[in-house]
Amino acid sequence: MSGRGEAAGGHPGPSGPDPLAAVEELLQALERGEADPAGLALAELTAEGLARLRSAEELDLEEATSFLMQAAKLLDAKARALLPPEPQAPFKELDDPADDGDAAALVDRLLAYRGFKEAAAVLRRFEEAQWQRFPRGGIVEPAPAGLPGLEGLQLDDLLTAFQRIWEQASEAEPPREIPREEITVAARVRAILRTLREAPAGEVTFTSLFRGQATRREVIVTFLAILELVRLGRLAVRQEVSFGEILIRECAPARQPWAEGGAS
Amino acid sequence: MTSPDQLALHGLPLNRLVPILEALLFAAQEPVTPARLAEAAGASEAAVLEGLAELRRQLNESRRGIELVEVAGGYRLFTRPEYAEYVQALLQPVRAYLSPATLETLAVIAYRQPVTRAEIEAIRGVQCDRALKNLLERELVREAGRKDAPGRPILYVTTQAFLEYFGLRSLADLPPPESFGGRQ
Repeated sequence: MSGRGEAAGGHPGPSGPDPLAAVEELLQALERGEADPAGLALAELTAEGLARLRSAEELDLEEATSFLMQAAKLLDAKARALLPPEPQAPFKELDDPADDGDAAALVDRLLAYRGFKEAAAVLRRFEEAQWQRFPRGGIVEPAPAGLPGLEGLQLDDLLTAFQRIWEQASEAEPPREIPREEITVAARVRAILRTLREAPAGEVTFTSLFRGQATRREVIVTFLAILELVRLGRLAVRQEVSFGEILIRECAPARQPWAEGGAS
Repeated sequence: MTSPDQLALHGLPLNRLVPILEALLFAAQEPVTPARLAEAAGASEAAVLEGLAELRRQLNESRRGIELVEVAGGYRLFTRPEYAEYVQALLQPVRAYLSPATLETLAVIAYRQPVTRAEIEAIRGVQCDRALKNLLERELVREAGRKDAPGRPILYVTTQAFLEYFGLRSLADLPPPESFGGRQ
C-alpha cells in the first residue's frame, strides 16, 4: 500500500514532523470531509510513527496504543475503500446508506471513537475535581466482587506472574559463610507494607517485590506474604491490560495481625 | 431574601429548619433527596428547598470548611476543595484513578446507554471485558436487562454511584455529545 502517487483526490498526506499528531490531522480531515479514505497517505506515516515509538526512551503505553489503534483503523478504511464493492443483494433499496460501503461505516466508527475519547477526558476532569471533596467518613469504595483486592485480574493471573518469577529464581542455595537469616512470612509482610508506603504514589509492580531475591525459598515466602495480605484485604492488586504488569497498592487496614512485634 | 427568623413555607422558622437540615445532612451517608429531608424534618419540600438555599448561603458566606453540594439527585455535605490537602493529610486516602480504557468504556456507556458489550467493543475497537468488570465491581455501571436481539445480550447503564463519583446532579450535567469532535 503506497503512500505516494495516490489516486486523484487523495489526501496529500499529513504535514508536520510528528507522526502521532499526523494521525489526528487525518482524522480531522476525514471528519471535515476533506479526505478520501482511498487516498490516505499512510505508509510513510505508520513507518515514522512506529520508528518514533521504538526510539523513545520510555514507552508511553497510552500514546502507543492510541496511535496503533487509530493507524490500524485508517489502514482498514483505506483497504476497504480500495477494494471493489461487494455485489448488491437483490431487492436492495437504491438509497440504502449501506451502499456507501464498509469504508464509510468504518470512518464513522473511527470518528465516534474519537468523540468518546474526548468524553473520557471530560470524565477524567470531573473525577479529579470530585476527588478534592470528601464526605463525612471519607470515601468508601465498593469492595470488589470475588476475591477481595483483585482488580482487573483473576487469581490465575497472579499465579502466572509468580510462575515467571519462579522460573528465574535459582534452585541452588548460594554458598554463605555467615549463617543465613531465616525469612518468615511475617517479616516479608512487614517489608512489603514498608515498601508500599515509601513508594511514589503508594503503588509498586508485582515483579519489583521479588527484586534482589536469589533463592526459591525467598520467592515462595514473598509470594505467600502477598497472598496473605490480599486475603486480609490489605492489598489491592490490579492489571490494566492482559499480560501486562501487575500493580499493587495498600488498602485501608481491616485488622493488623502483622504489626511490628506481633506474632508470626 | 427571606430573613432567617421569618417563617418558611408551611410554618417552620428558617432559623429552626436550617440547623435541622444541617444535622440530617451531616448524619447521612449518601446524598439525600429533598423529599426524604422533608419527611425527616417534618416540613414541606418547598420549605426544605428554601432551607437548603439558606444553609448554602450561610456556609458560603462564612467560608466554612464544608459546603453543600447537589449531587446524584440529592444533597450532601462535602469538604471544600480548597482544603483538600489537609483532609488528605488526615485520611491518607488510597484511591486509584480509573484507567484510560475504563474511562473510555464508561464514556460509551454514559452516552449510549443502555448499551451492550458488543456495541461498546464495536466503537472502541478492542475487547472491554476487564474494563466492564472493573466498572461493575466499582458499581459505576449495572446490568439493565437484555436487548431484544439475537443472543439476548446484556444491556449496561450507569448508576447513582456513577453520578456521585463524578459529582454530577444527573446525566444532564454531562456535556452534550455534539460538543465533542467526533461523531457520537
